[in-house]
Order: sequence, then C-alpha cells, then structure tokens
Amino acid sequence: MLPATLTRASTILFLSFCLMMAAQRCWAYNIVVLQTSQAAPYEKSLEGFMSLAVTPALKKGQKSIQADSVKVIQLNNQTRGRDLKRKVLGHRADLVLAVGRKALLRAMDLPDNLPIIYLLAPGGKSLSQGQTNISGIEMDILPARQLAAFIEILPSIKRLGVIYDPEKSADIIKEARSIAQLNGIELITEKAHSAREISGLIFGMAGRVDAFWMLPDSTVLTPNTIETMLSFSFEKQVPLLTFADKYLNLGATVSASFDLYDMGVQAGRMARKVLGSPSKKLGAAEHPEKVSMKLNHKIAAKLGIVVNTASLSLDL
Amino acid sequence: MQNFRLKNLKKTIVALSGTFGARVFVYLMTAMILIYIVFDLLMIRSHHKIIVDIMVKEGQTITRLLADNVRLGVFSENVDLLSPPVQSTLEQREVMTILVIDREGKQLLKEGQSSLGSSQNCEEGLKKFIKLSRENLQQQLTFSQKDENCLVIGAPVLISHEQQAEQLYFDTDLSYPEIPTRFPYRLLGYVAIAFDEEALTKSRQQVFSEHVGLFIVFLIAASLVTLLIVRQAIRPINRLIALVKNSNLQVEAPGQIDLLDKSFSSLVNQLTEAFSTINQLHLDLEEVTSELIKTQEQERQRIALDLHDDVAQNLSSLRMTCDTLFDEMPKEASESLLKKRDNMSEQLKGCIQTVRHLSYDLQPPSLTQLGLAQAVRQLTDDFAAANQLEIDFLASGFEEFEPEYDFAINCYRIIQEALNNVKKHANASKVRIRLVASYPSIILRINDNGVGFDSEDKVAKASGGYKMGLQNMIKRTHLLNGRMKEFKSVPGGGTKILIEFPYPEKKDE
Repeated sequence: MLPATLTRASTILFLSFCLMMAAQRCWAYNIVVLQTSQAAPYEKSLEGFMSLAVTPALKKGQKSIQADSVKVIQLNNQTRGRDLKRKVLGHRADLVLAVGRKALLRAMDLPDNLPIIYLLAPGGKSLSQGQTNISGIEMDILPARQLAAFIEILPSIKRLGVIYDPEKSADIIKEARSIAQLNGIELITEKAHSAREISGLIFGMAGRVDAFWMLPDSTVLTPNTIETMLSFSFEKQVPLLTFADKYLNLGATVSASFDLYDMGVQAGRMARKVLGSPSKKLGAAEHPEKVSMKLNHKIAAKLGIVVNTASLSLDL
Repeated sequence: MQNFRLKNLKKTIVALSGTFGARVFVYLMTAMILIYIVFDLLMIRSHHKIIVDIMVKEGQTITRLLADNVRLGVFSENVDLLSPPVQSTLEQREVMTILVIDREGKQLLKEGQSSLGSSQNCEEGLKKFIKLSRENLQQQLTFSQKDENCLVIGAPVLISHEQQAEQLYFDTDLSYPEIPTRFPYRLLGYVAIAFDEEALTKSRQQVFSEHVGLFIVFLIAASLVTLLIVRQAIRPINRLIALVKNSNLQVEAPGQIDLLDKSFSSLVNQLTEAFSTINQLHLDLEEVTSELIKTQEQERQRIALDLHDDVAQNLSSLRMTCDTLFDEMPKEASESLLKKRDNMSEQLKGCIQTVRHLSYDLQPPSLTQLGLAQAVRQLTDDFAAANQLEIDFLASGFEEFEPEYDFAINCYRIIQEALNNVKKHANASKVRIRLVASYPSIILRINDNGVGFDSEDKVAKASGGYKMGLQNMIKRTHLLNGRMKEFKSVPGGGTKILIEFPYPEKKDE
C-alpha cells in the first residue's frame, strides 16, 4: 500500500499531463487538408505547405500550428459530401487547404465561414469567384514575370506570337501587351474560338514572329494543337516558349514554370497569415512568386538560337 | 483330266498375281489421291485465308498509321495537311484508293492510284464504309470488308485524349494517378483504304499453283512408294506361284499368306503324287491291257490252230471212216443203216465246217496269208452274205505296205467288233468301211445307216454288250497308239466312227 502522499502526487502529475496535452490542443490550430489524390505534385506541394505552416505560436495569445493538428483527407469517389462535411467539422477545422481542382470543388460545399486555401487548382480564381472565404495560389505565372524571363533567356526575340481565346485569356494578353511594349517586343496576337482554327492561325504566323508563346488556354492548347505548335516550331525554326516542363520534353524550347514545393510554401505563408489575423479574412489569390526557367538545349541547338543561360534554373 | 485340273490351278494363281498387284496399286493410289485432294482443298482454303488475314492485318496497320498521321488534317479539315501522308501511303504498291471523311461522313479527301483502274467492288466497299460510319458516330469502328477482289479497311481518326484542366500543366491525370493510362478518345473522322484486288488474286493464284506443284510431286512420290509397297506385299504370292510351278519351293511368309502358301504347297505335292500314281496306274493298266489283248490273240491263235489241225482233222477222218463204213459189206447194209450212215456223215460235215469257222474266227488265216486288206475284204464279204447287209469296203495304200501281225489283228478285230455291233444293235442295211494307209497315218472309217443312238451319253446308257464292244475297240485303238477322232451317232441317223493310227513301227527282227 502506497503512502497517501505518493498517491496524491501521482494523481496531480497525471492530471497535469492530461491538461497539458489538452492545453497543447487548445493552443494549436486545426487544419484540414483535402487532397484530390496522392499524385506526386500534390505531395510535393503539401510538403512545402507543411514546412512553413507548422510553426509555434504566431503571436502571444495566438495558437500554434502543429503537424498533428493537420488532418489530411484523401478524396475518392466514395467520399460523400455529408461525410466530408462531418469529418471537417468534426476536426473543428480552423482552415481548409484544398489541394487540386477536385478538392477545391468539394471544399466549396463547406460552410462559407471556413477559410479555404486552394493549391494546384487550375482556374481556382474563376471557380471561387464571389466566395470571400476562398483564396489560393494560382498556377499561372504572371505574364510580366514570364515575359521578363523569356526576354532574359532569349535576348534576340523582337516579335512574339501568341494565339488566345478572348473569353479565357483576354486579361493575360492585355497585360502582356503592355509589358511587351515596355520591353520593346512586338506582341503578335491571333484570336481563336476553337481549336480547329489553330493550325491555320499558327502557320499564318510563319515569317512574322521570332518565337511563339504557349498560353495555358484550354481552347488553344489541346493535344492536337500542341502537335501543330511543335510542328510549326520545327518547320519554321521558331522557338516555343511554354509554361510547363512537360512541353519541354515534347519539343518546346524554354519553359517558365512554378516550383511545386515553393507553391506549397507560399500557401503555407498564406495560411499563417489568415490564421494570424483576427478577422480570419483571406487575401486575394496570389500567383507563384518563384519562376523556374528551363531550357531544352537540343531543341535550341537544332533551332540555332542563342540562349543566355545565366538565368536558367535547370538545363534539360 | 488330271492334267487339265492342274493346269487350271496354275492358271488361276498366275491370273491372281498378275491382276491382284495391279488392282491393289490402283486402289491404293486412288484412295491416296482422293484423300490428298480433300485435305489439299482444305489446306488451300486455310492457306489463302491465312494470307488474306495477314494482308488484312498489314492493311489495318497501314490504315491506323495513316489515321494517326492525318489527325491534324482531319481536325483542321485542311487538305494541305492531309495530302502528304495520303500521298506517301499511296506509293505503296497494294494501296489503290484512300478516302478520308469526317465524323459526319463528309468526304474530306479521296485519292487513288492513277495506274490502277477503279474497281466496282472497291467503290461499293467504300460506300458501305461511309454509310456505316454515319450510322455509328459515337463508336470507334475498325472496319474491314473483303469482297472477292477487293479489301477495304477503315480506321478511326482520334484525338489522343480529352484534357482535364490539370493536364495543361502535368502529364498524368492527377485525379487518378494510380491508373497509368486513362485516355478517353474523341472521334474526329475515318480513314478508309482500298487495297489492290490484284494482290488478292495473285495471292490466290500463287497459293493454287504452289499446291498444284505439291500435288504433282506427291503423285510421283506416292506412286513410287505405293509401287514398292505393293511389290513387297505380293512377293509371297509370287513365291506361291513359283511354288506351284516348281512344286518344291519352300516359302517363309508371316500370317495368312504363309498358311495359304503352305496349304497350296501341301495340296500341290499331294496332287502331284496322286497324278503320278494315277499316271503310273494308267500306264500299268494300258500295259496290262496290251498284254491281255496279246495273250488273248495268242490263245486264239493257239486254239484256232488246235481246232484246225487237230479237231477238224479228226472230224474229217471220222467222216471219211463213216462214209466207207459199209464199203466192204454192201449187201448186208440195210437201207436204214445206209440212211443213218449218210446222216452221220452230214452231221460230221457240219461239225467240221463249224470247227473250221470257229478256227477262222479265232484266227483268220487270210490275215497272215493275204494281208490285212484282203482279210478284211473277206470278212466283210462273209459278214455281208451271212447277215444280208450291203457292205462297201475300200482299202487303199496297202499295195506296198503290209503292217505287222499285231497291228493287223487288232485293226481286224476293231472292224470285226464294229460289224458285230452293227449286226446286234444298228439294224442297218448298209455299211461303209474305208481303210486308208497314208503315211504317217492309217485312217479307218466305219459308217452305217442304222438306228443310231445318243452318242453324248453312249457310255452311260449303252447296253452291256455294246459297252463292252466299244471299250474293246477303244482299248485296241489305244494299244495301237491310235485315237478315236470321231464317234458320232444320232438317233435315226446312223453311226460314224473315225479312227486314226500312226504308222506302226517295224520291230527289229
């Protein structure tokens, strides 16, 4: 039989421990991550998010963000809306991170007082238009930054061709036109309303452009039109400037793309910001801050173009 | 008769061998050819089908490649983009016509080889393809139609996949990364290629000519092999034939042929022995008969001599004694005694004549004294007189030829027997006898106009006496090495006998 003192002390210690555990919980934000799938890009960006989001208390009197207070939910076809809502609310989420377009669409069914940050969701801005509790990191690098990067890599460009769907990419072109003008580059544009028009329009640019700029415009960019653009590049010796690394492998010349990890970090920063603000109000959607420039040397050599490699992040 | 049976047996076996081998060869060859033709027709069909399948597969490959190459052109409905891949495909020898249509079946491009004329079959095939594509807009068909002379293959022109928004940026479908390829296709249009009918026809002709060549080779090889097999198979039969011919060959062969061979061998041996025995007995019988006849004639001669020299003489003496019985006592002899004496003398005279006739019958004296021809003449004269017959006898060739006693007596007896038969059975009025000696034969012909008989069954139905008489004639004929060339008798038509003897050989003295 233990002495009474010892027993009392043990009890107090045990209770204290429990309280401390609870206290920790009380002092950490709950974040729910809705992930479209376990695809590598999502994992990479989530890794970036976790690296920055998980942090001790932001300010005195504020909660911290703990790794174990971040719950990741993988979406699949069986996950019903009600179940998802129950899980998210059951976790008492303070913030939801939607990774992928599908996750964003599902997250939009959640209560609108819950802050939602989207990541790797193409067209997220247009999808979430009107909902003030949703913001995120867009996948498009600002045209200004792209153009600046292209000009730095390929200083010989004077005429840049681009085809776009006015209903989707008018704003980008407007912004790009002014930037190009500033940089002494003539932006030669053609409008297309369907992918069928692309082959005629692009080959019509032969002799009029020094490079062709691929926009992330789903009307213009289809597997067939990609082939057309690549054919145009090869036949007319016109370098293709693109926004994603995958086109470099297909035959594009230069890519100005985002880094997945950095995007995640950027989303984490946004999460800290919104959780740290008293109003929990999200700011406007952001564009990727870091631009990764890559060059396909073989294509460049075949096209006979001069490249400034000093600014390249990675050579292919 | 026995020789005839043996000859027939040999003939049968020879015939068996001669046609048996040929028949087996023909049957085997016919069966093999028929079986080969049946299987070969199936093989030709299968072979041709394989070639056509290969052509179809190659055609499908070419068509799919073309469909892939014309995607941009179909998508943009740009003939300039369609022409290069179409033209390069048309350069292939077998490609005749290429048709490119959009989803709705609208013709975008149709080109053909100018060196080849358009085939009605192919045009119909292409029209059918267009119709089918219009009816199945949502489906992606791979069309393949083969008429007799044309092959039309169609393939869909597809967009490789529909993009999700993320796929602008990434290679895989991020929603389903665990599924490595998930490419729903979208139909843009169709490509159809009509392949040259000549290639199909040539392939068919080539297959057929190859098989004809094979058939000829097979025919030659099969004939040789079958011939060898048949010859091998009938070898035991050939040995059997040799066995039958030689009667002393042992053959070893398995199975039933061996049994047959051994049975034949045994049968032939037994038959040979039997025939040999029969021949020997026949010879012995002939010899005995000959001896018997000789002995008979000798006895007759002896008896005739005894009768003539002894009995007849004694009777003559007795008659003389009887005639002179009462010469010394003429007055004492009464009329009755003299009458009795005269009666006795007459009776004795009759006895003497009878004995002399008997002696003459047993051995005609004229035969040795006057020769065969004269003896027979005398016989016929006496016979004719005694029996009220008209006998026409003519002998020829005996003027300078006189046969020896053995021949003469037997020939005489044959004629004598024939005349006796005429007397007893024929009831004839005329008899005609010809005896002609003409080297190397002596011909005896005896014809009568009697009642005749059924000569086909003469031996079976003839009376005992006639049968004996005929057999005597035959025996004596054989004894003289002669041959009864004709013995013909028709009821109511008389009897004809023709006997031929070889010239008798003179015995060494």
